[in-house]
Parts: sequence; structure tokens; C-alpha cells
Amino acid sequence: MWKLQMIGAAILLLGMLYIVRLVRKRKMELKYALPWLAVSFAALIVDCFPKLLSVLADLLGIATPVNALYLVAFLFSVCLLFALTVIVSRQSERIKQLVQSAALSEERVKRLEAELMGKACDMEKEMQGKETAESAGCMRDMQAADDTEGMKNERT
Amino acid sequence: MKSLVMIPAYNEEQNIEKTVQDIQKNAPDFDYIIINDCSQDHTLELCAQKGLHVLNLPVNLGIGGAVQTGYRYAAQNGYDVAVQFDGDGQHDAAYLADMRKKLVDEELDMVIGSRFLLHEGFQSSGARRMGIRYFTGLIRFSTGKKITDPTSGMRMANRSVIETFAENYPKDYPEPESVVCLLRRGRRVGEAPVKMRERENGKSSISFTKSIYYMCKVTFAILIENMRRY
Repeated sequence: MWKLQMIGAAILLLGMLYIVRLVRKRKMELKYALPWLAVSFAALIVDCFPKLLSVLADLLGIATPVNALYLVAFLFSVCLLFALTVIVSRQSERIKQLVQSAALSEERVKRLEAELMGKACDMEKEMQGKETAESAGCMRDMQAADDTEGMKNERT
Repeated sequence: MKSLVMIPAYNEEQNIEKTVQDIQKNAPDFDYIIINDCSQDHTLELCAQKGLHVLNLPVNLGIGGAVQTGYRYAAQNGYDVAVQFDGDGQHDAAYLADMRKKLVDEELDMVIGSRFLLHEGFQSSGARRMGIRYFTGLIRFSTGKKITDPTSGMRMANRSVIETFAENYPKDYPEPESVVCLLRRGRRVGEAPVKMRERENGKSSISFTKSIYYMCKVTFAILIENMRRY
């Protein structure tokens, strides 16, 4: 009896340590880790004081304590799954909006770039009209546009 | 009147250029924008090569998300009219001017291109027509309005509907649900007769096995839409 309780407590403690480690490494958000820590803690208490289960079973009118445990565990699982489904729905809506915004921005950048390039070329042509000698013209402007783009990319 | 044709495209390398040519030839005062929904084929490369206007979604969003991108583009760029137009060669740009005339003359908020007003052109298969009739009945039952072709992907919206859809649009199988959404908000929806062609290349997005799920999902969507308050 004692042996099983010790093993249970060890597993629970290890599990909690693992969760904390994940949070520390930022692989799990604390917000989503909290329910798991809470349920691990509750299980640890039940593990230390098994009498609590009998009390609970009596309160709920369940014949065997272990069935009370199953009921509680099942309810917790369902609640958690439901919460996750809600979270997934919200994430998917947000991802959709972000993807759309990215596509719209990309198109806008390309359109403005083309417009800018066109204006630069026009100005270059006007200059050429006055000076006549230069032939590199537009190519130089395109090079300049590429350079600024490169700088932007480096910054991000 | 600034008008936009929105062409959602998923793996349409064989059809997309023809579709754009059709619009440029038969509806020359409409601008167009292709929404490439992360195609696996060379749709995007083809668009770049031919210099077609394209919005490129970096992640596949499905038809609803793609079309909504078009509505957001129309809203951002000040379009008065925006029309959904399939990229697979099913729709005929020659009808766009008529649809817009109806939209403006009758002061409608949306005009749907319906295959079943004149019963001309490709009429879809028998089983599909049954499904479409079912939705017609369901929409009539819940909103009192008869829409003969609620699954038609050829639909034209005015500015107010553009703004509504830019903000909120169903994700998958959006056509019947979005019509109910408009009717529930008290918008005026009408239909204009169009002929559609049988698609030349590529498959319909809805296979036979998916159709059961489609019917159930859209039915629930319409029922829930009817529970929303505006």
C-alpha cells in the first residue's frame, strides 16, 4: 500500500517538474500549464490521503471510491478537451486573418514598388532629355530599389 | 463605378489565363484580382510570368478564406462593386455587365448569377440539383426568400456587402450560409440569369463522399445563422 503511494507520488512529482521545465524553456505557456499543475497537485493530495476519496464517494453517493476517482478524472478530461477545441477555433480564425493580411500587404508592396520604379524611370528619362549622354538610366534605379529592399530584409 | 472581379484559384494553372482573358475581353471595365490559395501546381509562377494581378496566400485557407481576402482587398482599395468569379472556366464574363446593371438599377445589395432562371447552359448533375433544391427550400423556409441557385459561386456585391464580408465570411462551403447571413441582416439579394460551362480541367472541390458532410454542415450553419441577432 505504502509502496504504491510512494510510486504514485514520485510519478506525479516528476510530471510536475517536467511541466515546469517546459514552461521554463518556453515550450509551454504557463496559462495552459496551470490546469495540468492544478490537477497534478490534486492527485498528489489524494495520493497522500486516500481517505479523501471515500469521503467524496460518500458525498456523491457512489458505492466504490475508485469510481468517484474515474468520474472526476473523466470530467476533467472532457473540460480540458472542450477548452482546447475553443482555443483551436480561435487560433484558426486568427491565423486566417494574419494570412490574409500578409497576402494583402505583399501585393501592396509590389504595387507600390512598381509605381515607384515607374516614377523613377520617368524622372530619369526627363533628366536624360536634358543631358542626353547617359544610357544606364533605369537600370541604376532598379539597382537602388533592390538595395533598399535588401537593407529592409537584413533589418527584419 | 470601380468594379473588381475576384478570382479564387487553387491549382488552376490550366484555366487561370483563359479566365483572365475572358474578363479582359468581355468585361473590360472590371479590374480583376486572382487569389492564389497556396496552389501546389504552377499557378503562382504562371501569374508572375504573365504579369497577372495576384494575391498570394502563404498558407492554404480554403475557398471561404480565399474569397474573403478578395473582399478585404476590395474594401481596402475602395471598390464599389466586387464579384466572385471561379478560376476554372465555369463562369462567363459576358454576364458581368448585366449583373452590375441589375445590382445598380434595382438597388440590390447582392446579385447571384443563377443557372436555373433560364435553364440554359450546364445545369449540373441530377444529384447536385437535388441538393441545390434542398437548400433553396431551406433558405425559403428560414428567410422567406426564394433563391434558385444558392450554391452559385458567381455573385456580385455592393460596397456595404463588401464591408460586411471583409469582416465576416464563412470558412468552408460559404455560399448558402453567406446568402442567409445577408438576408437575415435585411439586405436585398436578387438573382440574374447566367449560363455556366462544364469545367474543362480539374475537379470540383466537392467529391461525392464529401457531399453528405457538406449537406449536414451547411444545414447546421444556416440554422445557427438564423439564431444570430443583428
